[in-house]
Amino acid sequence: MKHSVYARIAAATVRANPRLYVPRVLAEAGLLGCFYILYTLSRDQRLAEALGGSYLPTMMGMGTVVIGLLSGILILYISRFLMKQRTGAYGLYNVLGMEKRHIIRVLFSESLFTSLPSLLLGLGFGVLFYKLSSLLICRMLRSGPVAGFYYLSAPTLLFPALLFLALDFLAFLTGSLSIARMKPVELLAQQHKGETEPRVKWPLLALGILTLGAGYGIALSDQSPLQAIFLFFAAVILVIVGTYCLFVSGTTFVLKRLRQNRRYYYQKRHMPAVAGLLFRMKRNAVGLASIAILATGVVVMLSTTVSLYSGVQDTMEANYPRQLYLSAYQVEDGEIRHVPFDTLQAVVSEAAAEYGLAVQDEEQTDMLTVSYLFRDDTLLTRTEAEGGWDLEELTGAIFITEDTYTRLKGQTYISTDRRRLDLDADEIAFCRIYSTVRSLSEVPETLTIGGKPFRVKETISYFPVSSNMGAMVDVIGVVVADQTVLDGIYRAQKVGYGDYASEYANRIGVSFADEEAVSAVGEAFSQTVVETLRKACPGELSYTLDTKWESFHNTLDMYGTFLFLGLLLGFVCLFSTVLVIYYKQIAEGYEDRARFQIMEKVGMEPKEVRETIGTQLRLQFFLPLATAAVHTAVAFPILLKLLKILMLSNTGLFVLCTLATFAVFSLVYVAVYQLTARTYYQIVH
Amino acid sequence: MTMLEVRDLEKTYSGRFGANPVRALKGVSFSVEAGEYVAIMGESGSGKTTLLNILATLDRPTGGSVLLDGRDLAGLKDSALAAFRRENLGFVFQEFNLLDTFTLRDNILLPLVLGGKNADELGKRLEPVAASLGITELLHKYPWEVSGGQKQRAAVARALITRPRLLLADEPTGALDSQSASELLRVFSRLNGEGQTILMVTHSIDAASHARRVLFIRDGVVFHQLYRGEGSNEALYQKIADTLTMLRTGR
Repeated sequence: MKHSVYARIAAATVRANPRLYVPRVLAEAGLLGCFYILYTLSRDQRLAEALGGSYLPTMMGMGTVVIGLLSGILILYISRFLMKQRTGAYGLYNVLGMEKRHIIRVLFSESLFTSLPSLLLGLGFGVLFYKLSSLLICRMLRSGPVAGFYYLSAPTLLFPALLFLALDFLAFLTGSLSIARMKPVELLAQQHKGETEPRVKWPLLALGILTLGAGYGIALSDQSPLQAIFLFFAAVILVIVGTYCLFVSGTTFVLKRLRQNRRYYYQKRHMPAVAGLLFRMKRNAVGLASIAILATGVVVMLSTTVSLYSGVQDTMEANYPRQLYLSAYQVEDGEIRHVPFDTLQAVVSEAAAEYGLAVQDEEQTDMLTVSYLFRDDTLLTRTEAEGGWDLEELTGAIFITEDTYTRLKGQTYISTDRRRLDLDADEIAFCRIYSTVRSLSEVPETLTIGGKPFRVKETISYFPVSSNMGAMVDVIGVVVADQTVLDGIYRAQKVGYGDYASEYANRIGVSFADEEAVSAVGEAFSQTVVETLRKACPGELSYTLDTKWESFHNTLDMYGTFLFLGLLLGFVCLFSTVLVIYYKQIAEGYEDRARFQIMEKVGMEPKEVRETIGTQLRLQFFLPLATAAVHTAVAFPILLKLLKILMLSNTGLFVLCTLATFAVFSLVYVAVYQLTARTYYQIVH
Repeated sequence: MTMLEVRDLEKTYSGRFGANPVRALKGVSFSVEAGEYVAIMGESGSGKTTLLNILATLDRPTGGSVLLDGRDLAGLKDSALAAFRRENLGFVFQEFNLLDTFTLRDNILLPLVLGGKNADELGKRLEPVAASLGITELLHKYPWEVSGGQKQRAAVARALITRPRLLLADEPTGALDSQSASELLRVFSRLNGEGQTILMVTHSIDAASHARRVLFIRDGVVFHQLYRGEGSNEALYQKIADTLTMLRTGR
């Protein structure tokens, strides 16, 4: 019987305070829903089969960890906030004769009454939107939809539910611990703690300026994309530290300066706002800094994933001038024998005929591709390098003869330079095909290859052989006089690398008349090409088949997965931001109520009171947004470099995506601000 | 010269959800001459707080009228009320009502700043007021750093800095210890001696005995009034006590 008394008290409390408890239930339900979706995506066998060897399950698994952590933090944050609001009432219960263990029972019932609806709602939300999510994914990864309607399985329902139940229990434990530790007088008199005047914390201010300056400095400094990867994380950490420090100390500093300026301060528009903000910022600095960082995170995450995804097509066009590249060699009696161009050509034509595809044109390349260390105008093999080497020295070099160069160039559409190279045996033409470390214009006067110096006679801006070496390292192209010179280089690297040495390659690149038709048959066609090749060249065979469609499929899979994860995590971050704002507003409202009543009594017009409230709220809530905008703008150059590594070099697209993401984020933020500001005004009046 | 005139003032609070309306004031009439010091006494629920709120233009009456310097307050638009309050009335409250985000200086200056006075004028006005209330040394402190008596003196300074026609005080000694209370009452008497018109609502006999005239309110009407005449504080104290006894015992 006694049991039900506490439960009834708890139920009445929850019902009487929808402003406090409804957002809590919705928040937990939302988090659980997202967690459920990610968790199920990582485990859904049918989806994994439909997508076929996708990154998706792994990435989603990583996503669940992130969302799990974030949920834990938020649920504890909310429960601590609710505890603070309820402390007065608990104190009263205590004074009226309830023992602490009874109060804890009330708290338990309250937790139960919010936890159970959250779980039910969250799972319902998750199951409902799971189908939508899987459809969206299949659409994004351009695979067929998964059969069947709802995917339901006991483990994927049970684990998220148990996890969130555990989180709620943890929140309850921390709550009951704080009740157990409090003295009844304190329980009643929690609100009236003496505040001290905010002081400028000089060490924090200095640290903030230093870290933010350093972070911004790194982001804006000139560095190679490769360096950018490592520096980016350093910069992110510096900026996060700087943001926290400056929100805590910098705002106090500025407001105090404003207050010292008597002419500015003693005006009716400024005085209440500045003094109010001084205390407000002291209380909220950490929360606001978190909002600023979350907001920056959301914008950066979404804009990069969106632009990667929408830039897939461009990236593919840039990297694959032709749709299929094939090279092959056989080993006979320990000798490497390249499959001749004619055979490769015949194989592709035969396979194409089988599918009714027409070959439009093709290019033939005999080339040598070697990985070197580029040091002091010298290409060294790794075995030659003394005292180790840096990743940044790593350079891929593609060698072709002048004959091949002129032949290919005659065929290709870029022919600005019709003059023959006329290279001597000790001369080369040099081209930076892809540069991540050094600048494109950095060209040596002489280049030593295999111990032999070559004069760089010409610098060419277009190299007719495209590189598929990846974007992490620099790639250079070298044109030599003739096969004899090339053979010399070949032998030199053979000495250096031994068994790991590079071999000549005969490679053909093929364009088909109807690109879409090839892509449609895609994988099957690739297989036919390989089978035909094996038939044509019986025995031990090594081949490299690089097709645009497979690369497209893989890239799309990766970026699509990134994007989906980015969207979901972005949603959760936004959601968290919203929640933190909401609860902050409410807490502020209760505290400010008395203050504004005094102002009206002293002769402030209600309109002016509204204005000064508005000024303070706007400054407080838009400062994080402005900070996020500045952070994003500063991060822009370094992000561009990172995207370059992922083969996206479309700056315009990235600018557009960033602006769009920021606009959408701001809209949601403003909407939430309006909504919560209204609740705030209702509390204050 | 009559500064404040209250005629047949009525205030009825209509109950929510069809509850019975409450008549807090049922026709209060009195007047205050310029330079007078009037105390209004009454028990809780007698209607004295309602009366003060109406005089302070924080609330509007449902009947009757209030005239300040012959001007009917009912004629003021809502938007003009705050400015009117700022320019003509000074307030002292039981709970001080100082803003905890302001130092005492800023609390005192607030009405002037709201009135659009410039920074130079602020200093000129502040000095004499702060000096006369003995809080010059405390101006840089925050409300929570000073005692109740000091807070109330800061509140009085805030009320006086606009040089109001009428100083309204609502239980000004209610939250003070006896020593601070008598100090404050001495300040009021001195201010009145300098010509300040004061209207104080209180249920402390001691506080009321400092006034020149005491009005008694019961059940929403002015029930009785006493004049100090040439008598001392003590004599007035005795008269008030007798009146209250009479009121309570039903004469």
